[in-house]
Amino acid sequence: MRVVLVGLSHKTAPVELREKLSLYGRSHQEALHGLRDATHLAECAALSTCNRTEIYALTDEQDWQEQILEALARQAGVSPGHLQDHLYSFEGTPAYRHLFRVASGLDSMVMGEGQILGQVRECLQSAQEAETSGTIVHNLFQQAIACGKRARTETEIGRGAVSVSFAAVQLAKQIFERLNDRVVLLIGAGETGEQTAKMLLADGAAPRMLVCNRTRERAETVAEQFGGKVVAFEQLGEALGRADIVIASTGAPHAVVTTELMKGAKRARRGRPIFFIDIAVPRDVDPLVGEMEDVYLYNVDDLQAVVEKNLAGRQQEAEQVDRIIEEELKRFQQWLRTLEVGPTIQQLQQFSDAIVRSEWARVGGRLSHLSDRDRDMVDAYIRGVVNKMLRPPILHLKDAAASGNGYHEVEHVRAIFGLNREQLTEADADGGKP
Amino acid sequence: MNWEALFSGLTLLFYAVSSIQYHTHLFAGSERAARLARATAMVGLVAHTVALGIWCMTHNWSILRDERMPFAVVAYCVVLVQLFVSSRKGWPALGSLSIPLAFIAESFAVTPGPSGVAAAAGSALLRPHVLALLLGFAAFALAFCLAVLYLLQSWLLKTKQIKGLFKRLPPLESVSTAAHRIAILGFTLLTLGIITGSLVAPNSWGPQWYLDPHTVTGVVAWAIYAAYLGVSSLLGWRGRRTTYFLIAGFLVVVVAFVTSVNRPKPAKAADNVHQGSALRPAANYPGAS
Repeated sequence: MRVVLVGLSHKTAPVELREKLSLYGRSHQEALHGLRDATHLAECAALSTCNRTEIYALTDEQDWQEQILEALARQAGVSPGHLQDHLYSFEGTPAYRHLFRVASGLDSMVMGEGQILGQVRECLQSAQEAETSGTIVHNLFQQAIACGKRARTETEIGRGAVSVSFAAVQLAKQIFERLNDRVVLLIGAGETGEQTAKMLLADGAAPRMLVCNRTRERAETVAEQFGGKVVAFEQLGEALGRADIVIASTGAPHAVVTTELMKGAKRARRGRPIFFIDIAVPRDVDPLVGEMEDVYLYNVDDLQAVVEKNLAGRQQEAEQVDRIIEEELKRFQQWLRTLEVGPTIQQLQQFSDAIVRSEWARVGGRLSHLSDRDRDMVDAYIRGVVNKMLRPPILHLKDAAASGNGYHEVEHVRAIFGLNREQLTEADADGGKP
Repeated sequence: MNWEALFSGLTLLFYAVSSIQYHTHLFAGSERAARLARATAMVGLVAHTVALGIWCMTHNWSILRDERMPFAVVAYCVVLVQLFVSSRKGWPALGSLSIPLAFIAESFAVTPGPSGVAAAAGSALLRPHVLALLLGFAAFALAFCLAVLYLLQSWLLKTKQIKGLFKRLPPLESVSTAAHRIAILGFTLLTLGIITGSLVAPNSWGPQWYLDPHTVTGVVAWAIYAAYLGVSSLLGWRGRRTTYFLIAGFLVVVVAFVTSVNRPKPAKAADNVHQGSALRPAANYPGAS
């Protein structure tokens, strides 16, 4: 039995194909049951996000790739030949490593994004609910989740904004800490401005929104969306006196916020800081406004520079994350190896137990004069001796498993103790109770 | 064994280590260093409490017995308020300024120097006067640290250096609000100190007491903080300009503090020393002997 992976992601497949395979909005349980019924997989789990769909499975089939490919093609309604060109598949360690990289955010479209860890967790939960995951897939995902958590807490892979809107929101929080009682002025009702405003609201903020736009109807629509108020363009100076955060995104060919306008507003502001997010091109805010005291002006290039720096920082952190992945991988492999020796250890214990019982059956009659208490004592002594004798080979097996030599040593121990089904059955048949 | 000296030496050591840890956090970005710095400062505060406790018990609970004691009390109050702020807000960056400040004050406290009576004797208002001024001084020290943080953060934002150090500094407006609140506390204490001082001074320092340099600088500091609170509380002003008041005010307060600690002893107190009154010349503050 081995763990295998078949999947596609934003790196290998276009969005048209990804959305066909995505389990978003579909029942995970149904999909997993369908997959299990169509194949001979012992265990399986499906990780499905907007950027990837991956099937993790435990199988001993030789043609597992074909089986999963056909099942996926059937689900997506595409030909297996078409799908095959976009699929990747791994087996064993590369499959584990891939999942750990995914959980750590190294394989994401935006490196280090944190959403993926929750999606890996949901994937495991779905597989458990569908009863398609067993010990190995369960532990693989648990280890991947632990790996992802470590990557996020021990490195800076998830730190720093990686979109212009988010960078603006983070800067706003560095000036005002809480955004819930801030006055946000939206100049121009463009899409990017709207997006940034949405980000501010999504960040726990319930700011008072003022919308200022040349077209009043559009301003009213946006103001209604955010529960804000419309400000006439003629009253922009007054609005600047009240606002804490200004998002400028008009299509005007010249500066809308000039130094003269700001000088007038500054009197009303009384030194309160004001943060300008100028995402318009050409710029809406005169650069000289940014030189005024207590005015912090960031244009789209400034914010893009922040994003690029953060992305570069994440790239640097990737090395650290790789180190964590290798550590967690080693831990998982050690656990897997203990599975190789587990059944043999169990058989050894059953074997010794059978011998003790057969000996009791043989000499039990001659010890009938012993009281129950004395018989229990003798039984405990015998079992103690047998356990002590078995202890060295069991420890040896465990050590061998940890060092990757488990399979070889299992064969030796089985040969020495003659562990085979016939012997055990015989011993069982002879067995009696003290 | 001189337990006072031992504990004040330990205090100094812990404050020094904590300062280094806070700076490691600020410049290298180590979160662990910030946690360690806070823990070390707390241990330092415990050692400081013990040192001050031993001093008070062995010197009849008087902080006026030695010229270096005020430094120790100021250092203690600065660390106490710093730890309070850090438990509420975090802000390890504040510790990187306030703990070194406490370290410097404590260094003065344990440096050997002349012993003797530090202040005038004979009035029940003397202790509240000195205590109010010392606590006020500690509050102004922290307001000063916050003002420096504000200017630094503002400069980083203006120059768009928004990586590393910038992210470890507290948000601009929160710093301004905290500085304002602490300055109100300091101003209240300073006012109380000046009122009680004006009642004590004519007896202790003679009719020309108001010309004493420490009185003059104290009143100038009061005027600066009054102006700050006037524009910030009454007129609602905030921002860079108001923080300059906090910096200027603290510099004047430092001058007032140094002149009050090092001024010539009043005649009455000196007499008491010779006569073996209740205010006997005390042993130096821990570590000074």
